Amino acid sequence: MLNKLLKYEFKSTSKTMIPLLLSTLALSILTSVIMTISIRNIESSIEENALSNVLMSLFATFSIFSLFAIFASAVVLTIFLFARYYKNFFADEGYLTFTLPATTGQQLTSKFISGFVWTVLGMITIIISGIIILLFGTATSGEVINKELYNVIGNILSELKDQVGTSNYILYITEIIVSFMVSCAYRLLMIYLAITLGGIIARKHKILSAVGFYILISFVISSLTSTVTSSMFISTFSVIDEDEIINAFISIPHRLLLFDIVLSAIFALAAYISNYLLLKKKLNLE
Amino acid sequence: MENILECSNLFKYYSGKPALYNLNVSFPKGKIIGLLGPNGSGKTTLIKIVAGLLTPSSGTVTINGMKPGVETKNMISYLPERQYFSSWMTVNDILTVFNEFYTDFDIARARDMMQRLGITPENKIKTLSKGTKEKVQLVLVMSRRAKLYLLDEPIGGVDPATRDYILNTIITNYNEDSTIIISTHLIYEIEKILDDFVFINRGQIVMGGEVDRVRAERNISIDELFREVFRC
Repeated sequence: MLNKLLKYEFKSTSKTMIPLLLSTLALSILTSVIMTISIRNIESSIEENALSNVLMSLFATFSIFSLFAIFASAVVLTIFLFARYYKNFFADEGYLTFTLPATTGQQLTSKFISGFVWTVLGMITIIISGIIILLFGTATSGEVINKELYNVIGNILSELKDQVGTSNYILYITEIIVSFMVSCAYRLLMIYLAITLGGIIARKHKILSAVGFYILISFVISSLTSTVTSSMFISTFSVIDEDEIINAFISIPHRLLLFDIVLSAIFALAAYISNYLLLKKKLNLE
Repeated sequence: MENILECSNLFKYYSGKPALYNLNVSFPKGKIIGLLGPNGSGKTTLIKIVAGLLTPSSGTVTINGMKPGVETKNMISYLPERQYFSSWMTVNDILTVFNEFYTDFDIARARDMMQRLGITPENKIKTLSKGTKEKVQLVLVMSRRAKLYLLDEPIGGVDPATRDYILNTIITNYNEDSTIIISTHLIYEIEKILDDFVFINRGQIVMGGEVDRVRAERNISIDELFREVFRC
């Protein structure tokens, strides 16, 4: 049944998501082409003329707008996911969703998986767009890619690799990726939970209440997290003596990343379970 | 005879106000039953609890001996009083959804009924008129081979010709073992197809019985009886 739900879920979300992500990529390519043309124009034109000035300012405006548009696409993606969750579960479409022969767990899991996949794909798209604009858009004439910037980034990374050792370096990257994924999952599930709370508890203004619940949950979690994190920091640093300082520089990021992963995973699980129980025991489509 | 649906001591409150108040009722298998009551009497609340869309405040509901869950959703074909189509769907899309999710869905029958109604399967549902959307939903619901059909106000918002079509669809698609519960306040139109009826008011069952027996004993129609019982 979960397979069927997922198939249906991706069938309907991809109608919006794929064009959105592809147009974001296309826009970043277009922007980087326009930026390259502008840069070459600046380099080649020794004497200024009115036409090239107008053209330049047009190009600059376009680049700024398209950067905004790329970030806006992330916002649109997020809003689309949450609007869909609300509509499928708590608006009229809920009358079909909750009369399908699927368990509450299957319904929630299918929403989680599709939301997670699209969020991660969205993030990856934004990162790729950023790389395209930064590396290709700032290339000087005669080059396809900004070699200077490419070398700087490469040097920083290889320096870091030398300092901490290859195994630590690989571990860092793995930890960063895992922590990024887990925190995506956790944020997604938190907002789903807030929408469920709004949908189930509030009799009117369900969306507004969901926003309220989200602020409340975020506040509780951030105060919890900061208390736990600060006490962990103190306990970590208090045991370091001067001889261990180099080791500490390597081990502390590991600890912090691992700590972040565990904490986010706990919050994600807690959000999933409370959401599941609310949908199972308190569902009321009025 | 075994009952398909049993409700005992059922209560449902909406922010403190009772919608169902100690409701006790059981419905036998193989009947077409009218769930009749004035506006706000609890008809929709009862149906939505049985369909699994509302959680009762207290009391129990069993469908074929089981509490609302995946098994009961497999047995129940529910026609809500609102439309649940996603905006992107074509008629074909929703047919596929029903065919994939419900093992008892007869897609050939549904396609046949759509064709006779002149509905093009490639059309987007949101472009159809309100009455046509209601027909699409009814075709979907009646094309399942369900044990229990819950039809909430199936003829509420449509013209008399469409009403005839809907009632006809219900009767012709009905098989002997299944039960149909029809909630409505348009009793005159519906009483000719009913076997049994229950009157519901203020969240409680007021009276009920076999349509023919009541007609014979009292020499009045159910519509007249309703007007008598619920006289304002």
